[in-house]
Amino acid sequence: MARFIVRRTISAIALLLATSFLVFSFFELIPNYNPARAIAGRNANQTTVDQVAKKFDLDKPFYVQYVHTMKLIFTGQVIDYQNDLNVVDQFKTRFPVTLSLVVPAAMIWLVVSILLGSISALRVGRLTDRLVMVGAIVGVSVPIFLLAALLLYLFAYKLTWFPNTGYTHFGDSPTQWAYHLILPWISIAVLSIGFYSRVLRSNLLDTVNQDYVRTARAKGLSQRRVFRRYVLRNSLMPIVTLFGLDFALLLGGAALVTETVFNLPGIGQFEASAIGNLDVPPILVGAIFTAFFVVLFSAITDVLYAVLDPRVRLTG
Amino acid sequence: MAVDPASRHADPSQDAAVASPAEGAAGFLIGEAPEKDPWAEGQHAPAIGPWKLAGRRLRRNKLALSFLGLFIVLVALCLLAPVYSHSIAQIGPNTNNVTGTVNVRGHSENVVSLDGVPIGPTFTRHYLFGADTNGRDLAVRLLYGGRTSLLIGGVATLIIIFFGTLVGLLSGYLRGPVDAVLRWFMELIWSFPPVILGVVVGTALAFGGIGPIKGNSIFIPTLIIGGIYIPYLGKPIRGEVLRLREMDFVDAARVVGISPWRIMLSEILPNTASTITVFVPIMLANAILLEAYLSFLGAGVQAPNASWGTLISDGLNYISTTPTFSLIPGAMLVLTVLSINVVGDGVRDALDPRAQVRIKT
Amino acid sequence: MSRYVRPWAAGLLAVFAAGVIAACGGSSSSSSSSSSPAATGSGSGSGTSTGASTGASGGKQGGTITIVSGTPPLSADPGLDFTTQGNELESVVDTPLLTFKRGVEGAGGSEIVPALATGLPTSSNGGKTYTFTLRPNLHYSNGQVIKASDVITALERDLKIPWQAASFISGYVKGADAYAKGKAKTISGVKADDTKGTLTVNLVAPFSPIVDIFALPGTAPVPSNTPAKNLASKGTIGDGPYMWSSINPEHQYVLVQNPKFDVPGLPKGHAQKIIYNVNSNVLANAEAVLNNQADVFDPGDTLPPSILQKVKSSAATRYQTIPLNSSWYWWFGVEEKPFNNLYARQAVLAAMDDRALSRLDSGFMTPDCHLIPFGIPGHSSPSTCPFHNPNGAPNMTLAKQLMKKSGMIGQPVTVYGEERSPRRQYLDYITGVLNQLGFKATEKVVNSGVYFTTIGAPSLKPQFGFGDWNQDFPEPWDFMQLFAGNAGSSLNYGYVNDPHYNQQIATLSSKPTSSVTSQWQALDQYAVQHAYYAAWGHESKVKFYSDKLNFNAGVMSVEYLTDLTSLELK
Repeated sequence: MARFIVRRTISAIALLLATSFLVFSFFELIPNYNPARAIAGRNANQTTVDQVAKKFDLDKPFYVQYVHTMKLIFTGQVIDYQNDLNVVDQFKTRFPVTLSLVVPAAMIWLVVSILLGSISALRVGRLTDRLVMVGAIVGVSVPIFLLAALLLYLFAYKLTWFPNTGYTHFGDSPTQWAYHLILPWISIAVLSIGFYSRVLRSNLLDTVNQDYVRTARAKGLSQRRVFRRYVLRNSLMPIVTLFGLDFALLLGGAALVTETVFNLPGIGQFEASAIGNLDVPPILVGAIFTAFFVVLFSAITDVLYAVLDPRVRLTG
Repeated sequence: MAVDPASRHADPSQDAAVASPAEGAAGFLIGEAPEKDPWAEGQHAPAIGPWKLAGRRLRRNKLALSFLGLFIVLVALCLLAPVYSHSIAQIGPNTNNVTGTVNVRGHSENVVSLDGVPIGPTFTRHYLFGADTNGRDLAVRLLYGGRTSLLIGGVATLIIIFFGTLVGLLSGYLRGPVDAVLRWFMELIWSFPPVILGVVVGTALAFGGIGPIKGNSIFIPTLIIGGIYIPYLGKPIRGEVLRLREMDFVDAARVVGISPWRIMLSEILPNTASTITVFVPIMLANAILLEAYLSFLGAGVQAPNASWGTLISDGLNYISTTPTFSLIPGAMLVLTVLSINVVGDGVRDALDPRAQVRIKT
Repeated sequence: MSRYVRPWAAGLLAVFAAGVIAACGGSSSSSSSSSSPAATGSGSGSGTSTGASTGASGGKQGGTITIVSGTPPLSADPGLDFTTQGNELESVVDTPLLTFKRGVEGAGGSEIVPALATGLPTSSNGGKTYTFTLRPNLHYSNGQVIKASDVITALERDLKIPWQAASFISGYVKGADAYAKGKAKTISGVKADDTKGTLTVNLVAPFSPIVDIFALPGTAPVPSNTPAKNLASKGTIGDGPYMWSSINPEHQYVLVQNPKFDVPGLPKGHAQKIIYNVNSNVLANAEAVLNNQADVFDPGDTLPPSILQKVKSSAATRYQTIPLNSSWYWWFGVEEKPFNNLYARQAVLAAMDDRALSRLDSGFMTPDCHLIPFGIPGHSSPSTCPFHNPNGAPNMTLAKQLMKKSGMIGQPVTVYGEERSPRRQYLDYITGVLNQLGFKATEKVVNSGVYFTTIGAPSLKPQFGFGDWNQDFPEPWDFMQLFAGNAGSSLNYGYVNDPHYNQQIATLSSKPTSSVTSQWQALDQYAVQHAYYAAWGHESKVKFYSDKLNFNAGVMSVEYLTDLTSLELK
């Protein structure tokens, strides 16, 4: 276990550094990209541009800039180009919003897809199965931005059942918090429900033919008991890995489309805005942030795997 | 199976263990019930070649065939865009007509009103689905946009298949440092959500161009989408190759002294063909979807060209007055992706080795 | 003022808001005749100057008013920020020595009146020295006394942070450039005497718009212990009718009335609290105001076309469009082929259909080929436009003749433009026109957040592209300087460098505007004749309130957009 942790940590750090370096040098290579000018603004004269370049170290050689920026990031002092605000602070204030969006949405999609996948597998070939699978394949074919915009139009503008965008902190009013987030949760969950229920259904149908299931059934255990104790449990294992990654990416800002459409001031919206402005520090912090969650959750899922399945050994 | 480009659903930890490509999911056809209840035991398949068997299975799959038909119709429609543009609508995809008028069943109407609202669907040969703010014919742009979306999706898929297979073969067969480097790069791409990676690279390249390619070329989104999805094929292929290289026939070839390249190309590659085939529709659907996401976020197809993504995005401006502006391109996109997905399910079920195993036992 | 819009807002605008920037709604009267001063906006109640000059007089006091905006200010600190959104807020927090007249809609709002100063500054030394005198016994919101030297603190902050409009100081005030570059410890041209309350400003050369610069919140005094860094999340300790209550950068800015504020003649404001909420989904903002969930739709945003009809029909009594001082134009790279050729440039002016471009802006544009807008001295009537009447069809015959004469048919042109709607639509349109003329035009769309700084980079030398200009302050200089070859700014995207033009800019800006109005007018017409720019109109903004506000009391100021001190609940 100790070796696992050490090796994982080393490879994680290597990945984070490589990610940050590639992102940073990528922006360096863009022709006509001149951050000092962009920061100084439209009215700036050469004096102002030079001052800005000096303030952000943009007049230094590339590697100095990189080292300097990384130092600022890890001491929590890095500021963005566009708004002159501390990036780490902004991540801190925005992260609860992303958590509020992603965690309940993930719970919804897990529960619903386990239910649908199981029902579908148990009723394989029947009408219920067909309906669920048709719904699932449609669900994975609709882009989130279209779904989100349609939900917003229909339920917020037209029927006015839900508030039209925005966010309320959980601490201010838990009911308002949930009320504002129901449509975003649905937008995120639909695609994953479609995807996970399909995966789960086929896993279930795979597992049902495994020897140990037959043995269990031969022992005379009830169908329901066999399903719950053996089939479902084993079929959920691949889902764990999938889920770990999806969840990590969403925490790292992958929900940018939903956050943008519903105006939720989370990580994704921030990153989207930074990308549009070619504002390197937040993009860099965002990349490191996402990679961190990916590494963390892949380690967690590996550990979970080892716990669930004694045949798996942890390797770096 | 469509993967949300904002997320990703292949399973990295299974790459060595899972021969079946599709994210470890065997997948059943929708609508096609197995002839016997899989919960019952003891089914036997006839002993014929796998490809032939697959073809036979696919032909029996009415649903997949009808969606294949739909897909072909959609592609054909988009390919006929120039014909529609010249002979029916008589206006080019990028021809502005802001101050013009159009005759709708005897009435002359402004294509774009004085306060900038474009005409809705006329259901006549001119402006069949209405106009956009610049007075361009949306039906013409829908077909040309579809061509762009399909072209980007198609070429990106070719890139993914070629490089994904190459990387998978090299990484899995040669192992050692080559494997280490390639895996590391794949891991790097993998640790970003495709949409974020695509938007970062797309925004930057649209801004600066890349080498001789200008920022507004459709090859930029194509290359980006292709590049992003390479590991999504490379990893499963690598897993497959790792398994194949330990097999007797590969050992035999090595003993005889055949060069590694020959082994890779003539012994291993053919055996990955079914995996690759299964991935073609998955990648095509994902590439088309990712293009839509990128265009929606302004990092994909650049003006004045259209794609379904940009048309949806522009149409959403009018969602409360003329929802068809976004719904029609939205429907085209969803139908295309849906038909590819259904066909893909059919192909997978027809080819999937594990499905076969299951039926045999 | 360079309108600052976050490019992400651009992305979202592309999603939801699209085509429109508000103003002179379809029935605009100003498009029909030659010279419509800003004061005659359209719709009801425009040009009303409501009794706000004493603040407390009439109108309901107290209450909370919510403004919704699609774009946040760059910062709440006027030492960094120079955006229309920021100006709207900061101008009620940081009161400078002078101010633009509040409570007046239309051209009257351009008048500069004394604020902290006892009167307008006296100029001496041939227009190179200006002297201000501060009113005694003025206090900041924290109770500290305002000193004349605090203005120097503000100027030093502007140069150090630096202010996005720092060029207004470093380019004209003596010693400011050296101070900005770190070569001097003080700004040698500025002296304060705190006992007499005087401030003396020495200029490099005579420059009459300096008076306007001392009416911008960026030059308002700040306590001498204010650090020279961006106070984005706290804001400055101000001296205006309102003060910061809380700031959540990019999301919410809350102002409350400043009880210590008491400057004779300046309005104190009506609402006790003003909340400025940012939501990049502009359609959602418009819906919120329509449904009375928010009170003011920020005029810096575009009103989405999908809601425009609904607003016009169901909220006609609280919706109005008001022309402001702005100009929209195409610039030509006059050093590069093909637009180094006069005829090629003139052909574009002849072929461009201003009416089409106006429709792309939801009809909120008043067609005109001149750069100086209606509300500013030196404006020329659109009827004097040489190549075609901006309110009529383009002259394609003339355009084709000019093209033939130019010999530039078949030349490639890269057309630069912004991504944000409807600017992308303008770009699509003009590219079509250029291709019709025989150029081989291709588009280059740039993210709105970096567009102007990209095309302004000296390394680029672009051929042709989009430009817009909202006034920094109501002076003809502010518009005409855009094409000055010797200004040293990056605003002259086409690198126009005409000796006559340059010399006129220098001469005219050294004199009081009122004495050289006709010369400014002539300069504008000269530049049109030489086709240095292809301007197509002046835009209006939307005044759209909830039912809870007294619509007629609210003022859309040419300088401040929504005049926050004028807002009052019913």
